[in-house]
Parts: sequence; structure tokens; C-alpha cells
Amino acid sequence: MLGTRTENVAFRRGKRQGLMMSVTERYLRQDIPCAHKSCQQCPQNNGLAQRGLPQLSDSGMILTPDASVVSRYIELLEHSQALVNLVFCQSVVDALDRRNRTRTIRNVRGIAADPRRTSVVFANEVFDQTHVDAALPNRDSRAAMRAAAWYKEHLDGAGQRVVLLTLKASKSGQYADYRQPGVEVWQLAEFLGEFHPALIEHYASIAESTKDGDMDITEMTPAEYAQARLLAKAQSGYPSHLSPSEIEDGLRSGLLVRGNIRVLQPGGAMRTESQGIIDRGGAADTPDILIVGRTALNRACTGDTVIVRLLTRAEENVDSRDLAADPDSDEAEDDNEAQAVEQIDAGEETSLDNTRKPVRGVVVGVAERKWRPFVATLQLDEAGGSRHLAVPVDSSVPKIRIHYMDTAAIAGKYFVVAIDEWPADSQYPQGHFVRVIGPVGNLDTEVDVILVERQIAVSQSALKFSLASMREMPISTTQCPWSPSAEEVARRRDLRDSLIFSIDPKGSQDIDDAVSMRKTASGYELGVHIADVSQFVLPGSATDTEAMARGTTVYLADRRFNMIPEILSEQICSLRGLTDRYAVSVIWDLDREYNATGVWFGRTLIRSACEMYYEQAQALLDGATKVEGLDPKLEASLSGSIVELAKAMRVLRQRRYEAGALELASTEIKFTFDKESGAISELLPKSSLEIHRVIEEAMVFANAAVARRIHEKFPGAALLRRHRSPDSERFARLVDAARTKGFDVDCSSNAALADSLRRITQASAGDPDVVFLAKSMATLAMQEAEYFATGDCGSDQYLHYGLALGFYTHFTSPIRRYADIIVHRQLLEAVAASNSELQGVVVGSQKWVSDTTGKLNERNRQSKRAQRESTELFQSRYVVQRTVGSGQEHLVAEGVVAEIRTNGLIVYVPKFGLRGPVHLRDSSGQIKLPLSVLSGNERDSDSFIEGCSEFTVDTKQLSIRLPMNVPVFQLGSQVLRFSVFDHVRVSLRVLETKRRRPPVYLTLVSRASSKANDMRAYRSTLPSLDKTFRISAAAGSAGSARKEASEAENATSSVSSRTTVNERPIVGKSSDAYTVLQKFGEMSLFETHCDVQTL
Amino acid sequence: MSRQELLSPEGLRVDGRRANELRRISCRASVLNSADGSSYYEQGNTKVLVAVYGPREPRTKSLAQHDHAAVNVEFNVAPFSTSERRKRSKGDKRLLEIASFVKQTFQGAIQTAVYPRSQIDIYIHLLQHDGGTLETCINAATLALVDAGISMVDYVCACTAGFIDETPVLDLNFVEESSIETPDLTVAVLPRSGNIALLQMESRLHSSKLEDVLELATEGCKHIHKKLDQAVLEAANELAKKLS
Repeated sequence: MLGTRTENVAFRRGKRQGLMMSVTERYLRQDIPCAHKSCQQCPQNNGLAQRGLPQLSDSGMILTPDASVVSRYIELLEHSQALVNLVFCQSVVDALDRRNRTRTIRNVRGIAADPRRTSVVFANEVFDQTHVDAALPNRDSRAAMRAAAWYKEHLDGAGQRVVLLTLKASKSGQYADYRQPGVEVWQLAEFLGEFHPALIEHYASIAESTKDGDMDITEMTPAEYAQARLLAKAQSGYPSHLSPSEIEDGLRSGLLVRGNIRVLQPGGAMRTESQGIIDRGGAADTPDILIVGRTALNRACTGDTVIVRLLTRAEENVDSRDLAADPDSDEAEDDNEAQAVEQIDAGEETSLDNTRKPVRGVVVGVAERKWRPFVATLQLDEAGGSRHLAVPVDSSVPKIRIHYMDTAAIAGKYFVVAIDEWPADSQYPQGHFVRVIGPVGNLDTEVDVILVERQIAVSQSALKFSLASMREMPISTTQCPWSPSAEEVARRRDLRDSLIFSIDPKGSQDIDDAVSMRKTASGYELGVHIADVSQFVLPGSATDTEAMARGTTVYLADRRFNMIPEILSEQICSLRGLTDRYAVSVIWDLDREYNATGVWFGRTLIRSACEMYYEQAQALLDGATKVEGLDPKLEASLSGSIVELAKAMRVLRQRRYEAGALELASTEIKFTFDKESGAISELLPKSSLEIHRVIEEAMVFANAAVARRIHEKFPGAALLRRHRSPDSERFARLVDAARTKGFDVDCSSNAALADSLRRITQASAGDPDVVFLAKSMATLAMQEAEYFATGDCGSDQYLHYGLALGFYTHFTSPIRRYADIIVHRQLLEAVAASNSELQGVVVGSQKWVSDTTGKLNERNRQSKRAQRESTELFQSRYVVQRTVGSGQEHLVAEGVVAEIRTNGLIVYVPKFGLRGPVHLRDSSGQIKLPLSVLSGNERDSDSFIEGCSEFTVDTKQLSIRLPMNVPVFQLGSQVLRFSVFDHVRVSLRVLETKRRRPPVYLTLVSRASSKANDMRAYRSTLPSLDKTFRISAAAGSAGSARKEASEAENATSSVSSRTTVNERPIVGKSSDAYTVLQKFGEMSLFETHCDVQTL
Repeated sequence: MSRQELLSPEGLRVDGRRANELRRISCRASVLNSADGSSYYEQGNTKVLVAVYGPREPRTKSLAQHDHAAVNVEFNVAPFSTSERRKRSKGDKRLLEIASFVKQTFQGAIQTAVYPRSQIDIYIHLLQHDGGTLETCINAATLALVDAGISMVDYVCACTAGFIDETPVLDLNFVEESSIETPDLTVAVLPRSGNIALLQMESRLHSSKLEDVLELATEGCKHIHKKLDQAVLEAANELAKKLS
């Protein structure tokens, strides 16, 4: 059956070389059917019917659109049901294929499969009688003409009219040269005017919208097209980077600037192009650099160290052009789902003040890549094949081009991708698939994703301790519990007779601190006793190396990953009641005014009299007797100690506040889990008792004392913790917001700020959410606290701003922080109680300490982000569980407006401790004000009031004018206003997505409700704090840190989750839109929580 | 390559064939004078040249086996065989794999016991590549072996078949073959007995479909057998003409 063989020549872009000619053979057949219903000559027509393909009907004329019509007016052909009996030539389809117009081909196939359209694809290319030699000029037009002519000849008996539709002028156009008898050539517009006048309008609108593009593929021959694309690629590809010597010269002469870049992918109406920001502190002489557009970014990725050339004002205007989107269908094809997610995520940002505009720049080189393995999901393109785009979970990372054969194995799963390179001619970086993590939506997988993304570990199982480190562990079993060695007992100060006790959350396993307080002749003796981890974790051991690499114990909402093996953290180091334990103690002699007259540091042996939990201790402090679970014999003495301790701590705390310590907001959300199903049964803000603050203060006191001592011994190498004073400009948002409520905020110093916050607290005593928000805004504005080696900076920079202390360090949680272990070693070295000769050399080296603090700060930051993401994960799961899972449609809660954005609000929901965006305007600028604003009924929150206008936004207020026909008696005014601190009711939802964990977003239900039930419920959970403490509640203490550690212990039943913000750099001091955008991108929903421990 | 459908709704493949059609085959035996047997074989745009030397004394004594001949296959791909010029090293795993497939196939088909202490060399050179390498290699080698007068149990005819859009498809070309989803089954049969000498598949295929695909491929082998037979006959006629 195969007839003559011809060859088909196509041009494609090769893998290596530029343009490649590919030759495929083609067989010309005799048996191509005309597919006409009443045709008797083509026996194969029956075959088409059997395949379920439509046939041409015998009514009306046969229309043969040529490539120009199909490529440009496919939409018209597709949607105009009146156009029937279309014959699409295979030559046209091939021509489209050569231009990668996959979607157009799909539309053609759609028409040809629709029985109502009685249209067919005619394989003229492989049909002997219609084949046209490839070498002829205007070959595609000739082929279309030949096909039409064949139809005319073939069906001439039936008097069939055959029309060739084209965009070329019908009379003098190219078809004139090789016109075939019987075929009517019509220009599309004329044809429609003559036969389908109803379609003219549609035609005109398409003609208008496709005027400028290269929609009409007949403008160029295939070879020209391929050539043009290649050239376009070469020209519009990324500019090449400068050579190292050019860069060096440029940097030296000051023409080029070096910096770390942060890239934001396009999202939302505000950011249609990628943007990069280089944060240079925002000072007047070094403004931040903004880089707009993919060309200007020139392949830089977030975190890279780049070399930038600053643009002059004149260049800025010219340089706004961007790379044209690659017409390759799979690249241009962005699915809507991802876009929707991005929009919610990115939110939009009002530019608060543009006084300090960043300068514009272009990237001319990348000094150092910061490519880590990324977790990604697959963007499936329908064409299949082996080349795919991986969409990283981290939205600041561009999509990555990967080769992978078995798509089915990785679709719908998270997998790890590594970037290999980013060649200048490639729109996306090239990478490769590394390994699968697991299916999207699975809890364990999601946790693994967090661990990989935060570079904590490659998976959960990788966080088990190695055999080598287990071998180093002392032995302790129930039959043969560990006990102190005689040698150590002799060496240590024996405090087993003193009354020492520990206060921790209920059920804690790793108790790393205990306290003691007793009256002496001259005043008091206060002791803080910390588990002696450094006794067991020797420098250079496998356990030590591992602990240093981990840096900190990582707490996630439902699980944790220990820094040191459980046998130490839960047994041998843990200061359990009624057992002998090694400790490192700080013991002060206080006079009657609680001034320290002397302090002793050293290794001790203690025997805690009692492990209490906070509620018990609080009960004793409140003067209760017969507290549940306590030994009645001990009660009296414990109670005395606790009361004395509390008195002392109140005074110490008051002193710190007078010195300017800040009281910041800290909300922790606690998830409680249903033991059987593992579902989240409750989500509660954690309560806070006075006794928490007492313990915190004791820890701060100990930390500060140790910080001074180690600084004395190691003036250049002491590991301290500082909190730099923030730039007052960062407080602009708080100042603005507070002003709308009639408060003045003075942020000139920490004392002034503390005072302002205190006034807000007092004035809005009935509204804890407002107080909370104000404090969290203050927290936001601050920099993160960090570890440093004292030799790295002048002593004036040691200050801890939040705590108002000149020296501060972390000493009190060695079980869960590596910094504390170093501090322990330094302290023991300082008091000559070290147990290792070499130890002093290492911990006394400034370089080592300085390097280590850098790593620890990074580990801390990552672990904080992991915590936050895990909270986010569980909040999202909780919302799913409460809405979709339980069949309820709405989960309505009371919230407070935290910010105003250009397209809506950011609302904080105290009940669940989450922040989320409320969109009041969609991406096309339509105002979406739900009907429930008027009715107050959440069921109306999905329908919108039409005709709203005057959407105005400034930094303090967002207002919408309702249409005149809407009754507004509940609102009192036709203009609806939202300002920061307003109460609103919102419905919590999650965005359905197959790609990653569903983000939570909110929809507005109504304005402030009159004392909603939610609100009362929330308030009742707030602790009734002691008045003085409420006002002077602390902004920082190790106590809360410790509390968290132990709380997470009982991971099975209740787990606390800490969400923190001030560990992350609040980048960009100027509050331009871009930095703020990024800030919120990073912080996502949870920036409101300040974890005091990190200060 | 092409994103276009490999099998159109009308039942046509990219090159105009229907699902059960082979590409054009043309072949000739005795194309090289220096070799004991040789052949040139074209299946569509895939072109192969084969030279057979032997049975002859093994190059090294260690190769000699006392009771049968050693079969040695070398496979090479011309750098110009694809439109993108590419040089392959001799150790290319893909080449070695194909060579070893061919070797295994012919170790069974050649009556090696007839030629003890000798070696038979089959040198295969792929001149142009357009899919179905293994099948063309086997078919061409058969022709060359027959040309060399080496005694064989039967012809060995090979053919590929795939499975596209729920349809078994015969003789895949390069475009079809390089689509990931297409399973690619190569069968070599001894046509007289119907025994299968080689069965090799890439990618995955549902087991319930295997029989259909296998049957189609076997059918293709029979056609190829006819073609090869014809070529042998032509060569013999030519020889007879020379002799007379």
C-alpha cells in the first residue's frame, strides 16, 4: 500500500549546536479518504466512522482554511459553531507544529473531533495526489491549494463548492499564481461578511488583539522562522557575565558593587516581573539596589553573591524591557493553580514611603552561587517526554529544567532537585533529579520537606544518632541506673543537702535547670543549677561533633529532633528529682535589697528535692496548701523558697525594666492531638503564669552573670549573645498604626519604646489583641538576636537591646543548645574546673568561637523557620480538618486587622495564632466585597456586592464605597472603612493545591461583631496575670526557652510550637515596597510571635 | 522531537504509515569484495553495512574452543549517522549492548559445532540512524552470514513493535522510538520453526497487551523473511550468472 517515498525536512534547535536540520521520511499513500459522507469512491470512509470521527456533511461548502487563518484565527474557528465542513490540511497542522503551536493544534483536533462541526483533518501530506514538493516556493500555500483543488475534483460530481480561506488578498494575493480551477479563494473577512455577518464582530476583535504578535505563521518560511528564533535566542538570551579580572577592576574602581541578592518571582499585580534586591543596610550613601526583570537579574538566584552595575537615571527608563516569554508552549504555559497560590502568598504591599528609593542596577556577574538542593514538585506538561520543569516549594527559586524519564513516578510527589548550571541561552536553570521524598500531603513527607528545605537533615531517619556516638554514652538502665563516680563526687561541691527544686512544664523529661533560694544571715542565697552536659560531651567526640553540626534541638509542632542523644538529655543529664546529678551552678549572695554581693561558679553535685510543674509551683506561690502531687512534708519549705524567689525576681525584673527592657509579645500555639486518630483536636494559645516569669528572670540573671565571667576570662573569645538596637525608621509602621488609635510611640531608645508600649497596654487593657499586635509590630521592627565572639566587635556593641543588659549569653539550656555547651566549657575553664586539657585551647580561640557562632546563628535561624513552617503546616491541616474534613463550610473566627495592603487586609486571628491575607480586590482589580458584610451571615461570604467603587488605600486605612442601592443601616455610612486594629470576623479557608501544603487564607465575613462568642472564648483563655507582671512582663528569658524544651518532650500528647520572628533578619531599613514585600514573603503568616528566648 | 501525536485519530503515523505497516526495506548481499560475506540493508532511513569474516583461525589461541566456533560481533555507529554529528567511543555501553544482543542471537542460530577451533567475525556499521537499530542489525547480519556461506539453523529475522495510544504499532522509526511512553519490543524469530531467538523490550507495557504486540512483530518478521529470501535469491542468481 505504501507508495512513493519522500523526505520531509524540518529545522529544529539542536541540543548542542544551534540549528539542526532533521530529515524524516514520509510515505505517500493512495488510500487517504476524503471523509465526505456521500462520497462513494472512498471505501476508507467507513473506517473513519468506525473510529468515531465525524465526516463532512453534504450540505454547504467545504472550507479549507490555510495556515495564516488557522494560526491567527483559531479562536474564531473554534467558537463559531456556524462554521462547519472545515477541512484542516495536515500541511497546516505540520506548519503549526514546526512553530511549537501545540495549543493551536489541540484546538484544531478539538474541532475535528466535534460531530456537530462535521470537520476533518485531511492528511494531504502523505496523500500521493495532493503531495507538493518541499522545494517549491510558497510550498505550504501550494499544498493548501492543491488539497482544496483535489476536493473540488473529487467531489465535482456532487457540485460541491470548495472554498480556500486565507488572509491574503483574494484577487492579487499569492494564490493567484498557482490558482487551481474550481477552487474559490476568499479572504476570511470578505467571506465572513458575505456568508456569516454575525461573526464579523468576533473577527474584528481577534484581528485587533493579534495585530502585533507573530500569530500568523505564514509570514516566514520554516527555515526563516527557525533561523529567526535562533537569532532571537542569541540576542535575547541572558547577557554573558563579566570575566573575573573585569569584575575585580570594576569593584576596585567602585563602578561595580558586590552584594547578596534576594530574588522575588513575579506574583500579584504589583510584581509582574522578577525582582532582585540587594540589601545594603539602607543608609543614605548606600541605598538598597533594586534589579527589575529577568534580563537585568541575569540568572542570579536568591542568596547568590552577585556583582552589580548601578544604572544611571537615564538608563533606568530605557532598561525596563524584559525578555519576551519563550513561545515554547510548555514554558509559557503556567498553570493557574500555581499562580493563584503565589498571589495569596505574595499578597501585595502598599509602598509606605518612597522617600528613600532604592537605586536600580543590573547583574553583571555572579561571584558565588548559593545553590542548595531544592524540594520541588513537577509541572506536568501534557506533551510528556523527558524534559520537565520542576517547581520548587520555595517560591523565591525559579523553576528548574530537569530531565527525567519516568514522569509517573514523580508526579504528585515532592522530590529533591539540584541545580547544575544556568547557561546564558536557557530561560530556566538546568538541574537534575536527586531523589523522591514522598507524596504531597503526607504528614511525614511534609516534615521531611521542612527538614530538607531548612537544611537540617536529608530526612527524619537521618537524624538518628550514630553508633559511634551511642558507644560514647554512659550506661544507664533500669536495673543498673547511672550514678556519680566517687572521683567526681570528691571533686565537686556537694549541694545534695540544699533544698533545690526544678519547675518545668508537666511531663518534662529533659530538665536542664533547677533553682534554690534560702535566707542567710546577711540576706539570701540564690542558686541556679544547670545540667552539666559538658561533663559527658567531650570536645572532639562523635557526640560533640554531631551536636555542633545540629546546633540546636529542632522542635516541630508534633515532634522534635534532639541535639544530643536521649540517654543524656532525658536521663543522665536531666536534673531529676531525688537523684544525684552533676550540675554547673551559679550561686549568688544577695543582700536584703537583692543586690549581689558575691557570686560563685562551679561544678556541683545536686539532688533535686522535687520536680514541680508550673501549675503546682504557681499554686504554692498563691499560698495554696495540699497541692496535688506534692509531698506534704516538703510543701512548707518549697512554698517558702518559691515565695522568696518570686519576691527577688520581681525586684530584679523591675530593675531591668527601669533600665529599658522591652516587653514583647509572645504567643505560642499549642496543638493537642487526638491520640487515636492523630488528628489535631485543639489549637490553643498557651497560657502564661507568673511563675513562668519568675523562672525566666532567674535564668536571665544567671546568663548575664555567666556572660560577665567568661568575658573576663576570654576578653576576645567569649561567646555572648547580643541584640542590636534597631533603626528607628523600622518602627514607622507601628508609629503609624498606633497613631490611628491615638497613641504616640517613641522609639528613640529601648526605654522610651518600652514606656510607649506600656502606655498602649494600659490604655487598651480590655483589648488584648490590640496590645498583642502593637507588641508584635515592635518585635517585627527589631533585628534578631545573635551569638558572637567578643573579639569580633567593640564592647559598645555587646548590648542586648531587648533585655537591656550589657552582657548576655546562653548558659541555661545546654541540653538543647550547642552555644550553651560552649559557654559551659568557657565558664569551667574560667573557674579552673575543666575536665579536659585541650578544651581551653579550643574554646579560647577567637577564630574558632567566631566561626562557630556564625554556624550556630545559621542553624538557629533555620530551626526557627522549620518550627514556623511546621506550625503553618499544622494550622493548615487544622483548618482543612475543621472545614473540608468535617463537612462544615465555614470556620469563622474573630480577627484583628494587622496591616493594610493595596488589595486587601492582613488579619491576625488570635484564636489560632495565625495571620492571613483577606483579599478585597482580585488580580484584575475588581472589588470583591462579600455580601455578608451587610447580612453578618457567613453563608453570604461567597457572594459579592456588585457596584462597589472608590477603593482607596493609604497606610492607615482602606475604604470602599458601597453602591447607593445597598441598605447600609447596620453600617451607618455608605463608605466602608478598615483600619489597623479594627476587629473583623473572617472565615478561614485553605487553598486547594496539588503542589504543596495548602496555604491558609481568609475571607471577610463582616466588620467587628458585637462580642462574638469566639472572642469571649479567647479572652477566657488568657491568664489572669498579676498586675505588675502584666505590665512589666518580660521580653526575654531563658525560662521560657527552657519551658519550651521540656514541653516538647511530651510530644505525644501535647506539643507546644513556637513561632518566632525576631531571629530572622528584618531586612532593608527603608520601608519601600520591595523590602517589605520580601519581609512578608519570608515571614508569611507567622511573624507576630516573638519568642522571648531568642532575645 | 515532535510534540505532535504519533498516531493521528485517522490512524496515520507521522511518516504516513498505518499502524501495521513496515517501512520500506531494500537490501543487497555481497556488497564488499574483501569480506567473506557482506550485506547492505536499509529499513526506511536506517542503513546498515555488515561484513562477515570467517570461519577463520582465531586471532588468539585463547579464543579457540575445541568443539565450536566463537562468534564475535562488533558494532559501530558512524558519527554522521544522525543529523547532529556525534562521535562515540568504542566502549560506549549502548553499542556494546547491541553487539552482545546480536552475538547472543547468532550464537544460537549459527551451527557453531560445524566450525570447531575457529572464529566468525561479524562487523556491523550503522550508516544512518532512524530507529530500529537492533532489528536492522540482526536482519543485515543474517543476510551477510548467508552470503558468507556459514551454515545456520535458519534465517534470523527481527522486527520491532510498539504500543501507541492503545494500538500495537509495527516497526518504530526514530521519532516514535524516542517517545518515552512508547514501549519498544524487538523480536527475532527463526521463521521456519517460529522459535524466538531474541526478545527484548524497553520501557513498560501492560502484560495483557504483550501478546498482541508480539504477534504483530512476529508478523513483521515474516515479511522481512520474504525480503531477505528474495535478496539471497538475487545474490545467488548473480553468482550463477558470473559462473556461467
